[in-house]
Amino acid sequence: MALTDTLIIHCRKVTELVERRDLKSLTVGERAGLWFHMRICKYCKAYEVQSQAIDGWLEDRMSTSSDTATLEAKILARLRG
Amino acid sequence: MSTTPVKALDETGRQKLMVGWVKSHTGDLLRYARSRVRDPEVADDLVQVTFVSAWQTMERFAEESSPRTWLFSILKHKLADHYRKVYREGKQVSGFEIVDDDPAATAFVPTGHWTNTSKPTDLNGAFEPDEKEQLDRALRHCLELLPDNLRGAVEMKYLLEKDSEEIQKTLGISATNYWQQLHRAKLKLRSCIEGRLTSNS
Repeated sequence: MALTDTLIIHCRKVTELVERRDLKSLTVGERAGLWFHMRICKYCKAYEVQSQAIDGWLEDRMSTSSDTATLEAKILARLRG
Repeated sequence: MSTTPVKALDETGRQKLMVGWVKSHTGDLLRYARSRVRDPEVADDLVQVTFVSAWQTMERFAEESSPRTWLFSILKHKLADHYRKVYREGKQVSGFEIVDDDPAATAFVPTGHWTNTSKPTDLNGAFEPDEKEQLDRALRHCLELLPDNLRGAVEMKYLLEKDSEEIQKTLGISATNYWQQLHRAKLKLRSCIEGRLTSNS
């Protein structure tokens, strides 16, 4: 396979690799292709930054809604029942 | 506070201990569950079954971990079970490939480049810090809009702490299929969030 075939990957593939990279190591070829693409495509670079921001939020998030007292009563009734 | 091991407690002692746990931890467990499932009633039910399960297996509670840690680990398993069911039921309803709702099919032209309408517009990167609250709202809103199977793919990543093999095993899907689901979910989330932030600014 020619070097250009390894290095030139399209945006759809790039966004897939950005997501997969967080869970599994990419191959050397995929890393090279990703690195190269990020240097020439401002849209995928923006996608990468935004995707990481979303990941950070998903990892940290806590909802503020709560209706604890009612649920506590339900749980205690269920345990006693 | 009592230091008597759970195993040494009689029925009354265990009941007292469990009531204490319910009062101390229901709020946190509920907040956690509600931020991870769309339907508040489902979240409530998951917290209830967490305590039922804890009660039934109380003798297995290892004293070296805190009750809170133990309860959260049970809740995470219940959430994973929930998303496994949602994922499998969703597949039966909508088929294996959700072609008509595949953001990867509409975000890119056949050659794989972004379409003009789907490419990121905020090229300075993501979401400025002064938009933090607005961003939180947009993220929550867009997460709610995800179809259940895609939401499941996203939630599993964090519930199972990015353990890729465990996620695939739990959902009963191949690695490739899981990457596709996650990719679709993220494309939808990103596009929804950017759209919402743009329309509100």
